[in-house]
Amino acid sequence: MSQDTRTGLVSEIKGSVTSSWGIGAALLAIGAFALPYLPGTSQFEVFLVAQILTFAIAGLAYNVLLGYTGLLSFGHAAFFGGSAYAIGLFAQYAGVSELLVLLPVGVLAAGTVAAIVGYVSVRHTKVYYALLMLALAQLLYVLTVKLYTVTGGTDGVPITAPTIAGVDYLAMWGYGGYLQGVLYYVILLAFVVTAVLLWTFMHSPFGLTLKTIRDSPERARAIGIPVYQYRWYASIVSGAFTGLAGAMYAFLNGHVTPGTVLHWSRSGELAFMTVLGGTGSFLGPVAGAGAFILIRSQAQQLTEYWHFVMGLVLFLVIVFEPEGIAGIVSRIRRRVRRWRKDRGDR
Amino acid sequence: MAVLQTRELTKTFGELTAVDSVDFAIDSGEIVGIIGPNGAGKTTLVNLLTGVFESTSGEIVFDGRTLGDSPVYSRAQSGLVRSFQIPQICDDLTPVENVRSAILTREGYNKSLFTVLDWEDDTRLEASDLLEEFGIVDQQETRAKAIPHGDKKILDVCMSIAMRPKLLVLDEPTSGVATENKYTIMERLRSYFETSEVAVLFIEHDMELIAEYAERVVAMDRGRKIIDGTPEEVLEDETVKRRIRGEE
Repeated sequence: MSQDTRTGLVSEIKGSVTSSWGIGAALLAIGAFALPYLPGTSQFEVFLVAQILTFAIAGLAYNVLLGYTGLLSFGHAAFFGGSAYAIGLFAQYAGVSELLVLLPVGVLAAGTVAAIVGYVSVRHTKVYYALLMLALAQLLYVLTVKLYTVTGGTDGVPITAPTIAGVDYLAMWGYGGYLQGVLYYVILLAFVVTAVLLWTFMHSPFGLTLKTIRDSPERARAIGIPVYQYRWYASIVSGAFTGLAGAMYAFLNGHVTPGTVLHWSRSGELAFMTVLGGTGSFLGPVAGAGAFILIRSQAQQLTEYWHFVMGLVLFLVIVFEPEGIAGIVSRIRRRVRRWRKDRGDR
Repeated sequence: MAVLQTRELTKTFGELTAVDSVDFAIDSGEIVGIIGPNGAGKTTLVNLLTGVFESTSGEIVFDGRTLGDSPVYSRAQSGLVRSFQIPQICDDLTPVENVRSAILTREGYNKSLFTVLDWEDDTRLEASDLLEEFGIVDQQETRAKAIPHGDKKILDVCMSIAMRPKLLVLDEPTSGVATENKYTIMERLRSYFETSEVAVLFIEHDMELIAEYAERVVAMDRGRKIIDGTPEEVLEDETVKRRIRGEE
């Protein structure tokens, strides 16, 4: 790196830290880190935020395909649930309850499912891809329900709190201490790692390759990109990180059933969150996951017809702001910039 | 030495023979125009050469190797590159990102996951230099979908040039461009042709451009090659006059 680019980078970092957005992001990061110790937070809030972070991981992973590769999947439940089930079944049959073992098992299982499902699906696009993914994911759902002697059927699989590096925090600190002092930070760390890695991937030559395929597969081929191969790689990246989210969900909920993690509606929720947040921006799906979980938890308290509320939200977003929350934010940003400029001119 | 040679190349779609036993060769550094009425098989020929279609019979030898059924992307990697009649560009990327994507692929960087693309690195500078040569200003903020149609055509061609092709197939490089700008594009292309060893095959309907820029012309009709020669010979040929130039 030359001297110039280094000073450029430093000033860029300085600039982004001192901008109001940088300060906001820093405050958010500190808030997320300190959350369990803030006055007035109870298990409920910590659980809610942990849930948001879990789905934020899934949303970021989902957007690798939807926003960056241009593939709409209705089968991500297979990766989410595949990982959660791999962890549950591995813990049950191998008698292992160590997070450092179970976590790789889950991610690896999701990555493997993604490699298989992706291999079949990447030759198709649009509605064919979406429905093929749906069909393959439903296959996994039905298998899990039918093979109940192995999988526990619709009753699902219990997932006991894992030890971490051999330490059983649940026994030491009780559930509250375990959730607020350990599990929350595991999920927060998983989120940060996901965000940093996926951001890097999407801003690398690999990411530019995916965007080229998204915008014009024909052109991508004409400049020497093997389109199917890269769609397949993208599916594996997306599937593995969705699996990481599935693992966090399993640990957080302590129980998984086909209905909660493998059902197609889970895939639909991931699509919903990502679109709600905005597929065109890297952090959009994070905002989408947050908004989705918060709106749903409010709507569920308000009315038993909460599905209607969610449907209405999705309808309004698609009609009025197809770029989602990220679109609203960038619109506000533009307006603020213009307002500042106008004020400066006078 | 011929960089590309076809032998009895044929493509049929059901009853229709779109390309009929075409024998054709092009040397390094040669600039060849292809003319023919609509439905003559020009675009099908391009699709056969670049691997979009598999030929029914006959063979294509490129750079000393028989191509067989190798896919579009591997032909492009080995230097057989095309541009598109209707610009195929990435709408949501900037012009520079479009060209940079081609450069990164040419250099085989697609798989690098952990390098964040640096705004100042060589591939970005190469991309913006190339665009500048063709008169497109490097605007960081503008997406390709927002640039004028003529610039889209140029961008499309630039993405192909960025691959450093051995054979460049241009599918109507000036179609849809205002007459006064056609020569600007062609002049820029000419100065690129002169500084490289590239063989160029271009489909064109404008006979003035053919006369001006092609060193050799191939005329096609109903899937067959009807004449292959200097622009003067071909453009004065009676069949060409009647079938292609629309003269009685």
